Amino acid sequence: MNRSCGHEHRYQVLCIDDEPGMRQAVRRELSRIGCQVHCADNGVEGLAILGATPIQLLICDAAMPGMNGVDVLMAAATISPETTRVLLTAHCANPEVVVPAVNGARIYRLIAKPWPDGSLRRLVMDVIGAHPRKWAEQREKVNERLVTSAPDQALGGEDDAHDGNRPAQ
Amino acid sequence: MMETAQLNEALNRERRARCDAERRLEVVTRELTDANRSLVAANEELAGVMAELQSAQSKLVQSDKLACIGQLAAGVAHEVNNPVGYVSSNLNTLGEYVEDLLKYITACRDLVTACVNHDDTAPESARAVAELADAIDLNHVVEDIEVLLAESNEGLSRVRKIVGDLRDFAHVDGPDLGPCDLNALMDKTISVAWNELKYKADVVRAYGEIPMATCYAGRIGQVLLNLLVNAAQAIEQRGEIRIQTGVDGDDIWIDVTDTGCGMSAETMDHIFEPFFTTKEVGQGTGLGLHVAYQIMRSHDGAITVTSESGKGSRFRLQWPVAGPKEEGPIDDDANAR
Repeated sequence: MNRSCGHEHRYQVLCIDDEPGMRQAVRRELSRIGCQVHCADNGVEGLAILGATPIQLLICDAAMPGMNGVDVLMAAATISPETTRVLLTAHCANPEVVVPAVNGARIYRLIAKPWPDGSLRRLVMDVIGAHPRKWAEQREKVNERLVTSAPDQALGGEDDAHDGNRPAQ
Repeated sequence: MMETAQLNEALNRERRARCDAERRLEVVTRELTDANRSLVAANEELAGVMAELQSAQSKLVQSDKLACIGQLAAGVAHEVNNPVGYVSSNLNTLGEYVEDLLKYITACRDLVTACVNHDDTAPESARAVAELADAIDLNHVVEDIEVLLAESNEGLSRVRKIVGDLRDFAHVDGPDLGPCDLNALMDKTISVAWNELKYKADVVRAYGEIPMATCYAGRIGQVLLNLLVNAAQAIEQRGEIRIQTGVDGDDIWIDVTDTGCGMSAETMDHIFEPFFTTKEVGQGTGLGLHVAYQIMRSHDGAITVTSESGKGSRFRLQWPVAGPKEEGPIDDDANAR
């Protein structure tokens, strides 16, 4: 992927995590390979972005205040079924987290914090590689949905990635 | 003659009586000695039982502490894995930045050499430098490096803090009675329990200005940890845990107040009994508050509770600022009863 390609062709990623450092790290890693990374610090905000923006890949934390990650991923599966869902968590040995994420929210992959070098990028490559047309199809589908539900919010409307970051507490 | 016979008779009677008395005395003495011996034996046995009780009690305290720490370890791992996750990701990115910057520096050096030598290739080198700056997104890299380093530093100091606090918490141990800054101890305890607290409650630290208090810091920390974890577990969704400290006459006190589910009067009657628990199986050992009770006794102090079902609970620890009159193991009072 090329960093200089046009905005509407960039892979759209949404990272939901209550840790500012975590959001920034994911954004850094993936924007270096051309993704546009949107961020939210809680599930409700993240789902709002998911409902209004074409997102191809959702990377979600598990333990968060308010809505927990598994519930967010379940809701995401309904709101935007074509978005690839990934759980990024330090709780990956906890069956209470992992079992419903895999079987209920049907996540594409489970990634442990701290993650091995390059595994986030490999994830993006795998998602695109495993489904050569998926990226384009995803965009179309998401666009369709957005056009029918909220015409103004269709792809390419904004220059900057969303960021649900609140000012440092 | 008659008198002599009578005298002899009297003397004999007296001798017999004395012999009798002596024999009886001997018996009594023997009995007493026996009794004494068995008393000594019983006493020794009692001392042995006491020692066993003491060691059982201190094992109880230790096992509660271990259970507590075990429960926290998972939470601490999570607390640590988050910053470790983003710091290591940042280091990788930084490695790429450095790689790009080195490429850029090489190009710049070529340009400088070309300029110094008034080389014809200078314009070409300049173009290469400009192109490279674009390709590596130089402006962004330069801008981001400082932020990246600051965030990574913040992450690492969090790891340092949590690991340090956990170490202090596990190591500050019972035997030493000494002056302690309770507000600082409270901060340390909150930090160790943070993963249990942060999604459940806003922790309000309404510390008073208090003098150094003499206590077994490790034991008090253990009690505080128990109270904090209990408070968080009593809160269903989200609430508040308020910590207050203060002085009342010769006593120091710490209040831990939660807006959780509270307790019925009946539950309150039992909470300091060993193995009494209202938590689900696997959630609690039933030892926490019993151990807290024993620990407060070892401080010549007390743990008290006020609670209202559905409203929340307040636990108060109180003991003399100057510490307990006598140093001693936790079960002193328990065995004296």
